[in-house]
Amino acid sequence: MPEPIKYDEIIESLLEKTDQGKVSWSQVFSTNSFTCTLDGEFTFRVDKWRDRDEDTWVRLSMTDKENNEIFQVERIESNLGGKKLSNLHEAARRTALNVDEKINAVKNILGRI
Amino acid sequence: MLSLIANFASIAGLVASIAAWFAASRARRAAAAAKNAVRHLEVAERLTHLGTRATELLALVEGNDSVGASLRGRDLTSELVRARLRWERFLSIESKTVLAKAVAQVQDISLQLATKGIPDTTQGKQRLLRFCHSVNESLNAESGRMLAEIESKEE
Repeated sequence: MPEPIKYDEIIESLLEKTDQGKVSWSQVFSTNSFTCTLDGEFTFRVDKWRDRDEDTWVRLSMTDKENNEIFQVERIESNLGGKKLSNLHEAARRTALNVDEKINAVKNILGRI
Repeated sequence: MLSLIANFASIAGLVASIAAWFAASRARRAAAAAKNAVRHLEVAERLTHLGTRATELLALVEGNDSVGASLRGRDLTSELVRARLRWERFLSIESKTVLAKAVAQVQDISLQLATKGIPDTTQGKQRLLRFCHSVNESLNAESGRMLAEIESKEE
């Protein structure tokens, strides 16, 4: 039986590099979905949505340069492991939308007026 | 006397051979550089073509043709992946990243169009058009950047 893919290591590394500003995420058309590409070779996509039972789900998927899906992992945000994925989603959102920069700009404007 | 002439002739022959070897090397390098420039030009033209396809996708969305737009999006995704693989050797990491991001974006747009159609709210359609525009812009910017790079090397 093949060994299970160690998603958590990938999630943690992606989160760390995103926090360090070394991974650049961008928004895709779907709401709450963000994508990044590493070295022009591998693309990651992180999505967040709410199902009919009001559970919030987070999904991370990876594709290669031929657009083959390498893996996909989805978890309920409140479940074990879901928190890590949710943190990654939030970090991706902040990077893609320049959230911190915009919050600082607003603070400056509010301080001025 | 004859042996002196023969010695002189062989030295002259050696010098001529060395000169010819240098000239051949220079010509080979120039030919390789020209070939490389032509390849880069082809890549830039291909990217311009993909930009045109992205413009067509945009036009179909503007015309509320969700089926046509979804099909065009799907075709554009395949063409982007093919171009990425075909020209890989001539693409920088930045160019590969631009193409990979365009693939992710167009695939998402195409899937949304196929499953949900064109958004029926003005705000939703504006958002969709904005994302189609961004693909178009990124592909055109990349082909422009490559052309500028080729031109700067030619100068």
